[in-house]
Amino acid sequence: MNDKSVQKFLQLSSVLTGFSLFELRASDCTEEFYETTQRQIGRENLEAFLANFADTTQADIDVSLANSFLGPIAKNIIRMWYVGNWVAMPDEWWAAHSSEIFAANSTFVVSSQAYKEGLVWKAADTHPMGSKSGGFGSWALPPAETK
Amino acid sequence: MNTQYDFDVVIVGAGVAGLIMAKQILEDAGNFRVLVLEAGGERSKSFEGHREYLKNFFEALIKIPNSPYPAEFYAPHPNELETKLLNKNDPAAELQYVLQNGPQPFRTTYTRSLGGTVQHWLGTCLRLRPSDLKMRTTYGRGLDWPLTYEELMPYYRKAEFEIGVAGDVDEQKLDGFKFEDGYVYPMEGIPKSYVDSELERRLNGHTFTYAGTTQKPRVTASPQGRNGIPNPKYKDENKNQYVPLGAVGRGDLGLRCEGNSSCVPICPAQAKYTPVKTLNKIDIPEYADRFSILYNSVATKLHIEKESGNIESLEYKKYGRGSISTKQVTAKVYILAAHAVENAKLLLNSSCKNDLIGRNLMDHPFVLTWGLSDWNAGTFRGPAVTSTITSLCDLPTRKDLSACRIEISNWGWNWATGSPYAEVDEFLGQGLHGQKLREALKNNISRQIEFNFLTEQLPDKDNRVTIDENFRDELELPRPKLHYQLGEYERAGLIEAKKVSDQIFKSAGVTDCTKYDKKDPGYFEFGQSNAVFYGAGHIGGTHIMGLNANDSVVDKDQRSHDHRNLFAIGSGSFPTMGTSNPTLTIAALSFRSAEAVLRQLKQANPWN
Ligand SMILES: Cc1cc2nc3c(=O)[nH]c(=O)nc-3n(C[C@H](O)[C@H](O)[C@H](O)COP(=O)(O)OP(=O)(O)OC[C@H]3O[C@@H](n4cnc5c(N)ncnc54)[C@H](O)[C@@H]3O)c2cc1C
Ligand code: SF4
Repeated sequence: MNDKSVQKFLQLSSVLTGFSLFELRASDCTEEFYETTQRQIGRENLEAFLANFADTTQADIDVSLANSFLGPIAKNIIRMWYVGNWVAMPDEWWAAHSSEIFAANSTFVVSSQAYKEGLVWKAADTHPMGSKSGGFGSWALPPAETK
Repeated sequence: MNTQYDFDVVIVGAGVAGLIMAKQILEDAGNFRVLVLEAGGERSKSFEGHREYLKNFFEALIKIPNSPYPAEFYAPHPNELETKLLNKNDPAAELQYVLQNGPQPFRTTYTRSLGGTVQHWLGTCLRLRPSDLKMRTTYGRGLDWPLTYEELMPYYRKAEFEIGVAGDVDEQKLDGFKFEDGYVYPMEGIPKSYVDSELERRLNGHTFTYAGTTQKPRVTASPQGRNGIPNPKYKDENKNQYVPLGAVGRGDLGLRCEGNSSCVPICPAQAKYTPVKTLNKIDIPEYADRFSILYNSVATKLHIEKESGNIESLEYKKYGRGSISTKQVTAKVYILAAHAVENAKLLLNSSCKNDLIGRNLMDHPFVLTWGLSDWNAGTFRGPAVTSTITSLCDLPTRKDLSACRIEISNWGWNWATGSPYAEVDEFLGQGLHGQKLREALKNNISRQIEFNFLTEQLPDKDNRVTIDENFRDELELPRPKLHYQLGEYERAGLIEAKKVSDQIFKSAGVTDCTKYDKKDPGYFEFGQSNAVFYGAGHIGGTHIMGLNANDSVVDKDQRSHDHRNLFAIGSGSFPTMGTSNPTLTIAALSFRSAEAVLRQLKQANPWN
């Protein structure tokens, strides 16, 4: 695997998700997500995607999210970090950019780990359903921020 | 009649009803021999099997109740998504194991493997109310049970011990339940969630109108079958304190609910009761020579002796990899504990005559309402539900419209929208990313309030399970076909829910966000209003209990009126549903019926 690309992928993931590099590294999902993305959209598309974000300013990202090639990839990466699922690429994207060597265009849970590390739970100040429980009675306490 | 029996008792189904029955018979001094036939596999018996189920849950895209528990090829079960009505133009409807004849879908499910449907239950352990058992007398609706609350009380205690209920008796008393003096639940109440307490505090002093009456919102903690702190005041029948039972295969784990927030469909810690805990009490060397349980063994047919109507033998099919063998077993007493739909399927496939078999199919149809609070509710923490608003469970209005119990969701809009997945999609769709996305999700999810209005469905003979020879399962058995519709009574109750919700939301600082989708299979209209109903997984009726074969299928001991050595047990025996979840009552009835079975076994002529 290309370490530089993985690093780039991680940095970009941080900007896209709103979570720090530190928080993303802690989940230990970077390589799995990088590989999943590469398997699903192909190496060339992933490289092109990463290359597009030379310096990732807010304006860049807004433009990219609206772009018909970059946008669906970016959203899928965000979604993978947030809930652990890879979602099938939109039909138009698939028609324009796929090749035979790609994995099937499908929707799936990347792994148990990916589910449990989903950022949506952290964003909402809670824990993934079925894992990392708060302990007996923790649900009776006020939520973190109003303590 | 043949006097050589393979067993004293054969029980069909290793769920809570069947396993409590097995335990009671084995523990009797009569040394009776018991066989349990279980249609599904035995994965839940080991800790490794449980871990496998947990992995299934984590990796399931749609985390519905049966998602951890794959259906067996030869013993299929339905799932909530199979709501297609039979229709010549839609072949997919015929592929659903349980056929939906309509006019409305029966939106509920059950599980066929060791432990049964309780594997994915929530764990709410309410008793039925005294009036629930006397609906006809009290409100002129539905039917009376042939049993009173007082008759059930000692069995409720046994059930609360077996399941290991954590609850607060004083709070239940305030809510209209009666208990023996000094009685406490085995464990202290599971703490109310922050959502519960905040709602309670904010609603204090407020009232709302309901079907022309004025009501106060009463937030009551639910007794629950999940491990908490043992109550030092509790004494069991042998005057011992309650000791919680830990995880199956790892008794050191699961001694207390950890707040994993995934009770439906799976409790990772196994702090929640599962019938496998009951099985472990009898699957012991002491009983090895008189207790057997066979997995992957589907009971298919009862053979009936012509003259007496007694059951002569039970046919079952044992399946393995690529092999199916048909077997017969004989016993003095036969007990069907396969749950309401499968019990009916078996009785109908055995050509049992009583026309009421399969009829009076019921559930607790419910509607959801949801809104955003103007305060941080700290959602997605703790068991799915820890309290309910119980003000509408037993009012004189029950003569006009169905009563309801309002569950307060601790998991935000999880059931209504599929939160938090739907919200991630929605905000991504709006082009949000980075900090903005994170904040939008936080701001939305932690303020999600959801109510589940569970209503009482009345018995209706036209709501029924039949079997259809033209559609067969993998064992060539005619598949169950459901005929189902909400009556005016239930519709009126469900529609009233939204009006109540609007008022309570307003008092509690919650902005309503409820939207009912016309395309949803549970969409219905009533007067000027509409809603979407769901099924609660509380399947009742199908072999209701009563006084004689003209009004019912079984008697108050759950013994068939027509076949005196046959019992059909579980919520299939319920003549009415009340607003309480059924399983505690199922367990209590099993304890009670076990006494009747034992009396019968000890008679000189047990089949009379
Ligand atoms: C999502 C959900 C949440 C729920 N939450 C609650 C709750 O909070 N509180 C509550 O009180 N109730 C709850 N329930 C209801 C509860 O699960 C049922 O009331 C309970 O499981 C019924 O117990 P049972 O033993 O009669 O049947 P089951 O649990 O269904 O067990 C029947 C057993 O029989 C076996 N079987 C079936 N057919 C055959 C055959 N032909 N031969 C051999 N074996 C067979 C099955 O494999 C199964 O093991 C919930 C249900 C659902 C779906
Ligand atoms: S909250 Fe968690 S530990 Fe408690 S019963 Fe539910 S799943 Fe089990």
